[in-house]
Amino acid sequence: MNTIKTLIFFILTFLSLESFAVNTRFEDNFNIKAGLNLNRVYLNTTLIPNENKNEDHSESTAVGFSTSVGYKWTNWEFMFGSDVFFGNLKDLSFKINSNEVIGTGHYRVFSLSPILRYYTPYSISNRWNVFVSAGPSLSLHTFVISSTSNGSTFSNKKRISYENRGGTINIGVEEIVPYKETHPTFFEIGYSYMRSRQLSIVDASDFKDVKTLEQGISNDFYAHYLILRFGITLF
Amino acid sequence: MLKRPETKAIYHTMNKFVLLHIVFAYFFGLNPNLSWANSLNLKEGIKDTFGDEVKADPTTHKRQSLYQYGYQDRDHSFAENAKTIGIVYGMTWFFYPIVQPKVFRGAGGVKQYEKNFGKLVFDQDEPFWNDFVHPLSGSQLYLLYRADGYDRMNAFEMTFISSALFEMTVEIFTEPGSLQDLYQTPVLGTVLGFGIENLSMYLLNSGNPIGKILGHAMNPATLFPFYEGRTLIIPKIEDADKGAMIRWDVSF
Repeated sequence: MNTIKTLIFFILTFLSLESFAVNTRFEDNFNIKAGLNLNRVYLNTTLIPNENKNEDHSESTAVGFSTSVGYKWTNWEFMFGSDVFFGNLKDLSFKINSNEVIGTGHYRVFSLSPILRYYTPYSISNRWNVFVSAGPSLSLHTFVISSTSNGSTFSNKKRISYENRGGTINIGVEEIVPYKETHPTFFEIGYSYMRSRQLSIVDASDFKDVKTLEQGISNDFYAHYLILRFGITLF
Repeated sequence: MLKRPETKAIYHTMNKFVLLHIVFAYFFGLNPNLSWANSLNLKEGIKDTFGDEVKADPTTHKRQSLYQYGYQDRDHSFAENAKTIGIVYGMTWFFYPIVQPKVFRGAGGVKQYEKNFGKLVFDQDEPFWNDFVHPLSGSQLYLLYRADGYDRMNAFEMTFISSALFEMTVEIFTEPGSLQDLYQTPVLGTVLGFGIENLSMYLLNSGNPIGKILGHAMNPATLFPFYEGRTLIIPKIEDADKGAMIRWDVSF
């Protein structure tokens, strides 16, 4: 099955070697967008609440960058979008084998989403076109615990990593310009939900060669993300 | 004091990139026999005007640049695309063991290759690799294709094909294909390359020798013989036919 998928991938790759015509129009053309994101993340594990926190979730603010590559028709756009962001972690509980680890440290998230965006007929001040978008998401949520608070031991060279699946919906505005070379700006607010599918414990002692120590199915972790993205179309 | 292994590893990796830069710079730019144009090629009559000595604009008092740097976009045939992709792909097979010396120590192998073929996973690498080294290499690929006359979107497309081929057929010698690398190398690489492109053009056209060195250092593809965007502007000063001529050298 993997071989067939790979062969299809290569056929598509080589077919795309035929260059696209040079075209500076915004419509019926590819584009690349880049910008920054600001997130409010609500993390949940089945182990919260813990002894020290009488809450059912842990909140955190994270910042990072967003990129996307897409093809835009007149009102529709299909794109692959990615968010990378980093945040701090305080007193979150994890179940590692049979041990409970309550840790403080930081985390990083990489998410990738195929997104369909619809540009509505509505605009603000004839300058900002309102759009909505949605799509499924894959993400990797990696926790680095620098100190534990319940007496447990967990090396800060180890990483707790969740592979998640979920979805995202967004609404935003994009500057109305005739050509993408004028770098139209966009602002977008979105909501994403992610639930873990797989948990990995990895050893990052050797910076150049990270080793997976354990891997298993896990539904322990889920998270809600409120994301504010702002950026420009580069070309 | 380099005590932490991460710090040592970063320096070790950076040193390799510096070495590669020096090799590229020697073969494609600094060695006058291999460089395709330099001021010594100018005819005797205009040597005084466009010699190696720095000239200043009498009005603004700013240094004048001998060459103007930019990009000349053109169409490429399918055969040309395939040839360029093939050359870059061959180079990745050559350079991969150099930047991954564990291959020489017995890591990977044919069985590992078969096992990893067609696999695509989330890798667990540190942000230094996924958010810096891979996008940096992607940006240099993008700039390589820009130097070869591809417009920005086609340069991205070629970068995507090159990095995907590397990810799915070369790197699997030691590890399965990575979803992050497959996306970040061409996309974040192109975003980074777009910034480097603009900054390097500004520095190269500044007329400042240090700016020129920095411009070439961050965008070494401008030193390659196939770089198509270096132009020499030669003014004509005869009374009968005043004007300016732009010499544009193109090699295929």
